[in-house]
Amino acid sequence: MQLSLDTLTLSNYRYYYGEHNLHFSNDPKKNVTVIKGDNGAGKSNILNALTWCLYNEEVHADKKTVSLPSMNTEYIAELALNNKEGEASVTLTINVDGEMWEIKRTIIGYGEKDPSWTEDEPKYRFHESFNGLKVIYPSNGDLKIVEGIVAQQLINELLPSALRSFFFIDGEQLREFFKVDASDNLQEAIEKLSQLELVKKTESSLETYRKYLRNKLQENNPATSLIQKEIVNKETLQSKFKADKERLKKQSKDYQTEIDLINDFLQDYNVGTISHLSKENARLEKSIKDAKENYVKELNSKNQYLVSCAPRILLKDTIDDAYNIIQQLIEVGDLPPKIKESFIQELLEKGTCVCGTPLTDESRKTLKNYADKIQISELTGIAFDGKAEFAKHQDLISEFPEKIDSFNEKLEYYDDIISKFEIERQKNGEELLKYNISEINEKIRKSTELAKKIGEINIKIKATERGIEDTEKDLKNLYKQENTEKEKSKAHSEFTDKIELVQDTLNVLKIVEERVKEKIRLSLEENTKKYFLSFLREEGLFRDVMINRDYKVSVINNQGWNNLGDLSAGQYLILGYAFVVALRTITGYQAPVIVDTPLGKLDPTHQDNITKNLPKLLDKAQLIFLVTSSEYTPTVQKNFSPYMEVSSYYEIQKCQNITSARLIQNGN
Amino acid sequence: MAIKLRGHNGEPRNLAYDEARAAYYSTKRDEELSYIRSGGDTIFAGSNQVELFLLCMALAKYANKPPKELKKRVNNIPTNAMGEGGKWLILALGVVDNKTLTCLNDEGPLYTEAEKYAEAGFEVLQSLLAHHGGGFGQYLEITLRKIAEGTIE
Repeated sequence: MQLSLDTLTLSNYRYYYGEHNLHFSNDPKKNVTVIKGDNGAGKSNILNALTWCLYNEEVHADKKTVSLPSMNTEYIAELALNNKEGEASVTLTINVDGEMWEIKRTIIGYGEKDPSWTEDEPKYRFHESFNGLKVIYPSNGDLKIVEGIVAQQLINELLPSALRSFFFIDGEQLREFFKVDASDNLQEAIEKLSQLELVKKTESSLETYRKYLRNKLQENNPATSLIQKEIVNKETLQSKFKADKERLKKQSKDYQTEIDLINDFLQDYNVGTISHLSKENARLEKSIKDAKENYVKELNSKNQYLVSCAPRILLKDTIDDAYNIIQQLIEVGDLPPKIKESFIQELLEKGTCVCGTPLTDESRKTLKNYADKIQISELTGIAFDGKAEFAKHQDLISEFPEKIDSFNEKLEYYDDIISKFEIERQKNGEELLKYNISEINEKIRKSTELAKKIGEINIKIKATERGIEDTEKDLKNLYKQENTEKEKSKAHSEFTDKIELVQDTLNVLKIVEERVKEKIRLSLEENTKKYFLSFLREEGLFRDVMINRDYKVSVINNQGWNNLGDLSAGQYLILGYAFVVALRTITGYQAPVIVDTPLGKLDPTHQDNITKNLPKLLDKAQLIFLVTSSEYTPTVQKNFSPYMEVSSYYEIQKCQNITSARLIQNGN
Repeated sequence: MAIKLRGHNGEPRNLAYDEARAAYYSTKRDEELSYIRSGGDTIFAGSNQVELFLLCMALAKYANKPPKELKKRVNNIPTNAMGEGGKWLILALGVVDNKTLTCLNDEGPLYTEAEKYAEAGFEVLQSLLAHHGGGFGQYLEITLRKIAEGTIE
């Protein structure tokens, strides 16, 4: 089946006040349409408009739009002021195998002033009174109109809801596709692509028929009634386990989606950077504290040195004078060797020399002078000590300028590094102020809590799986017993034959189902590997992509390790594109591919690679890219230009406030 | 090898400051007037009484202030805490003032004179602190450098 978009009309939908039309090229060779808009201009609204129109769900519900009504808020205000009802709609015309279909989703409602409304800060509420889907399509040469559930069923047959994530792609989500547990997504994709609905429906009908036959057999063969009853009980129990498992898996998936949203939020706020900035801040705080402590320590040492040196230096002249006094006494020989003062006194009193010669007046005079000097000679030792101390003081004084310079250099050094660290801390602090730390912490707490819940759910899932296994074993035994009973009683061969036939058919169908799925899995694995390796810039970095029987994906690097958990954001995105191309190559299912932010996480080389190859590989399929200015580089424009009509380029222009945008075709 | 020092003659056991200066010489942390208490805001914070005493004494001599009698002595500074270096600063003052070494025969009066110098110097210190405030340390550093380098006017 060939499916392509023709026109998309937005009427008072989200940012798009009034009516806005987008026309998409249906030329298989000119299969690219580009819609360029800044972040927050209304690009994702286009992707949302498509999924809202088709499935009443918005694939890219961000933090802002999730709380806003689907109707344009300017329009709601207008309705409130005029006190009337109005409608918002998205109309999509599509080409299905050469025939035009029109799909329109409409909401009707009215606006009213919020109780907190003021002239300065007007606020409005929206009350939805109607939400409906209408499909007009050709049937037997005529146009048929269907609405409501029937219309939705028709859409689901055209483009199954489960497959929409492979056609209506949020670049960010595609990047996350393999990052988290992708096995459920892969399993779902393969199930849908296997087109085994008919087989499954047949299996379900046969199961019902088998139950009916068993009941009949039970009625006619009381001998096996107990076994039959037990089988029915076990089968009911097993169904319950299976339903529980599915419910738990869905719950786990919902939690995981919530975690993914939180991770997206945290990625916007760059938690890694915040953590780095916080650590850096703590490090700088510590460095500043240490440097300040060192500064104070050094300043105290300097002050103590100053205080201890001050008396010596202030008394420099006194010390020099005292030193000189002693030195002069030494030089003139006035500091004689120590002689006992009493010895001179004895000589003077006796009046004779030690040799007995009487003392002359001259001798007496000399001895008296000497007696005076001896008083000083008693001090000779202590004077030498003093001289030594004074010399030490003089040394200390001469060393002072150098030592004080050394203290000052160290203080200057600490002062410099304190200033340097403080400037760094200020810059760091300014950077941190850009982030709302408490909100981020709350998100991280929530994410941890959800991860814990997922862990608990996984334990419960394991318990249900054990229940399924146990009941499976019990059922096998019961089937054996049932067969034995059937053998015993040939009277009910009609029923037993039918049951056997049904069972055999079911077995065959199961084998068919497994084989088809296995074939698709292998083909998907091979093609994903092929495209992934061809899209990558670095040759030889990876050597294999594997999708095992549990649908777990492995990306094997050149050393043989599974590198899936360590791929860069760009590599995840490339893996996602490889998978989408592989899916389409295998199924030949031709539906348009719409990608929001397709190149956001890719470096220029990979942008070049992807934009060169995607239009070629998704040949004939419409490709609609919702890009930012930074993504739509001259290289990207050059790569897309062979696949674009002039009219296939739109720009979204943001009007005055965030609730209004308009589309300008061809950039005019 | 350590030099064996000869004994000092008549060295007092303790040195005194005037009772009026007691709070400034206090080592108690909670004495706000103290110049030397740990955590104080002068450059003497963490110094000891001997260092403050010698600084005051030297300031008086440097500023040519005459020694000043103590009104009421507080014998609170152990002479031994001075070390030989400190003691010889006091003795140097005595030797120079007396222009002879004989004064060393009885060091007692030299220590008493030193106490008077310290008392006179305390007033100099107070006025310098009042004048320079927190910049006293810088003033002292510049002055000492000039003296040490012989560049003082």
